Amino acid sequence: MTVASADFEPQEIFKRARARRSNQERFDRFSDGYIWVLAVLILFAYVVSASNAVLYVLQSAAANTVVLPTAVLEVVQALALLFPLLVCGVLDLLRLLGPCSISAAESTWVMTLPQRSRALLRACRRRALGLGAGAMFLTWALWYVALIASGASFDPLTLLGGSVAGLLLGALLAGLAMWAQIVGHRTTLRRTLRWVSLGYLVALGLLWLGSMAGAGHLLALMSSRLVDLWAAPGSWLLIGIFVLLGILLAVGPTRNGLERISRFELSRSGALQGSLVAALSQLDIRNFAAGLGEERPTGCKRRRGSVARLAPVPQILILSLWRSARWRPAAVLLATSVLLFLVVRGAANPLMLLLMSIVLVACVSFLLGSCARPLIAVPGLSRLLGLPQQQIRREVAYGLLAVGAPVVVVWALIAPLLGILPAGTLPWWLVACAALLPGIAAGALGYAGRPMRDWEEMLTVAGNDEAMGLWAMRQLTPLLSALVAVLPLAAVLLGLAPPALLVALVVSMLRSLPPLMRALRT
Amino acid sequence: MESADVALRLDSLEFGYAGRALCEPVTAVLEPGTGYGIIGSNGSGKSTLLRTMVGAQPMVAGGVYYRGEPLREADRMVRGQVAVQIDDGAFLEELTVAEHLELVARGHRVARWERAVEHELEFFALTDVAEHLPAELSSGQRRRLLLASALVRPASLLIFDEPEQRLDYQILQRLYNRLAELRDAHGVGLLVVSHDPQLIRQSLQQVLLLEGRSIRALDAECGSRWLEGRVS
Repeated sequence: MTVASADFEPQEIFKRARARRSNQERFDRFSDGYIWVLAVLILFAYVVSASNAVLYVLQSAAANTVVLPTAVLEVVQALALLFPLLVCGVLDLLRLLGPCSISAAESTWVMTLPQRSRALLRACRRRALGLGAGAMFLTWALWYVALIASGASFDPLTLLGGSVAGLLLGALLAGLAMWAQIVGHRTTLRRTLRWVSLGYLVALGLLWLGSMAGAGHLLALMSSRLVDLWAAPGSWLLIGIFVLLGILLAVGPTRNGLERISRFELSRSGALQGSLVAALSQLDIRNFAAGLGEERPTGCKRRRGSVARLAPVPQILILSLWRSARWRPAAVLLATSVLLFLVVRGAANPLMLLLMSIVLVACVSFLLGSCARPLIAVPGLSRLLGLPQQQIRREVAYGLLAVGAPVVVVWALIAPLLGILPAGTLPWWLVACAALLPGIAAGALGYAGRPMRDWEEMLTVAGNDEAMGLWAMRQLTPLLSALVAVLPLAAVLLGLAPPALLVALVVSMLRSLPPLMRALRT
Repeated sequence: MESADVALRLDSLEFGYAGRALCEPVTAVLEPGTGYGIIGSNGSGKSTLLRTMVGAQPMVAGGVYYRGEPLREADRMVRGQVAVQIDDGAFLEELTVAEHLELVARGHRVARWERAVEHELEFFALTDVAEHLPAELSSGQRRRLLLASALVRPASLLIFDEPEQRLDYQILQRLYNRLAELRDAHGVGLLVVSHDPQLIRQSLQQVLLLEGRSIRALDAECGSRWLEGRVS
């Protein structure tokens, strides 16, 4: 086979293919991009509203707010301390996503050519920098809105300087993540970030303990300084200048380094980013969570320990919960709640307790539903296990109750142990917490059996309000089953009289018990 | 110093997952113009070995050398000389079948690329669908397009993972003859994971048999008989 000497750029063929596109195809591609921008803006607006609601609850001077002696920080001060952790979080996200990526097709057809496409690598780098800048800017904007809403002074210059610094910082973080990808040290970066975050938290913890031990309000003092610092435009200007220097040093040289990243690695990152986009477009995190499995080591022998003595169904449920680390978000949520109540002034109020209960119930039923999904929704499993489908469903229901119980018990104990329950409500509080369990199990069962969202079906029924309402109800049923279970708890925390409490309890049971009983009876 | 005449050398290569080796270390040498097969039952680690060799996943220990240098696909020389076909493959949705082959041929600077593309289209019976987009192809046609892409370009080492998948009998016969011809007449090295005794017998000389944690080197005839269940 003879070889020509002429240089060739694959873009030539891609341009030819693009030129073939019909007007309809061009419009479709434009509208796809436009819809994504719109979706991000809408999502951002919703997140801002939700965070403002949380801030309102955190700062509300509601009745029965308990001021714990350990609570040394105002909300605004806690937010000021949060910023470095957010930066670490964004860097970790960029590391997880690549950030450089290509599609599987580009990996197979373009990256195997001897002369790698300069245009493809340039686009890959541009996308990574854009991803970093976008992620950090949105994070910064969200944080800044929360800072202002919680009492920091607003200055248009700070907004401008912070926005620019946020964008630049994002590009720098993308550059750092790119370096880790180029030199193949993404795991090292992950460990470093974990140690840095842990070190920061330990330092804050020591300052907090120092404040408790009477060594002055060091933590409050430091966070007050930080609030002033973040509110000054000059700080962001300075950060922007340093970041710009960092970009020149760290991002510039990545231009040539991309050649060193293997196409397999780039394509894996592409698949992960694709699954994130799919998860966002489906409003269903399951797709992305499945992609994260790639990060965990596979193929090694795993011990089942005493779980091996259980029947297959509870065994699968427990191993799924343990090995996929789905228990972690619930544990983090419990720990965050305790920290908030302990450290932030005004957080220990009934409204906050109610809000955290709602979040916990929604989160736990989602996580348990994800664990139960393979047992409920995988066709042919009944034949594989040699068990009737009804028996599997019954055992799953029992398993969900057993696995959900420890979370409910811990939650029921936190408030009394911290002393933040309104006086005289302990017995009702315990009853209301017990009512959470069937709600969580019913929600998890519903979630496990819910099919993937069909947006096309939504579009077809969009013209008919009734059909649209039914579609939305079907989508939200698992969540509602779980959330109705919080009604008795809300009644207790809002200080309603016993008859109202009983009504709330009955309503909650009427919603969560029937699906659960159906599963247990079969 | 490694001899540049040796196309591929596996030096105590250990492959597996999460730092745990699946098998004992593999040491093997593939001379130019020879064909090596990798066989074994399902789940024995054949594809993992192949993926480790080409850098699609990290090796546990040891090394893989191509012409005396560590085999790294990021190396331009390796990409120019080693054709790897280990995945089911994704396709560029806007390019036609012919354009896919044009991309590879021109990217590898094949002088008369139009003729080379035409030849592969004809060889793999893809001429009728040359102007079709990948979405319009059957799974067998997609498979043929992938194989055509490995043969439309110059290569001194061909690495395939189960090339016989989803191919009809006629195409298989032509492919096996072509591989044998490339090996004998052009000195191309072949490294193939396969379950097909005919491919092993017709196009390769030696095989590595992966069995449990052990690895055995067999001649092609013996390997074929193992695949046919005639040898334990």
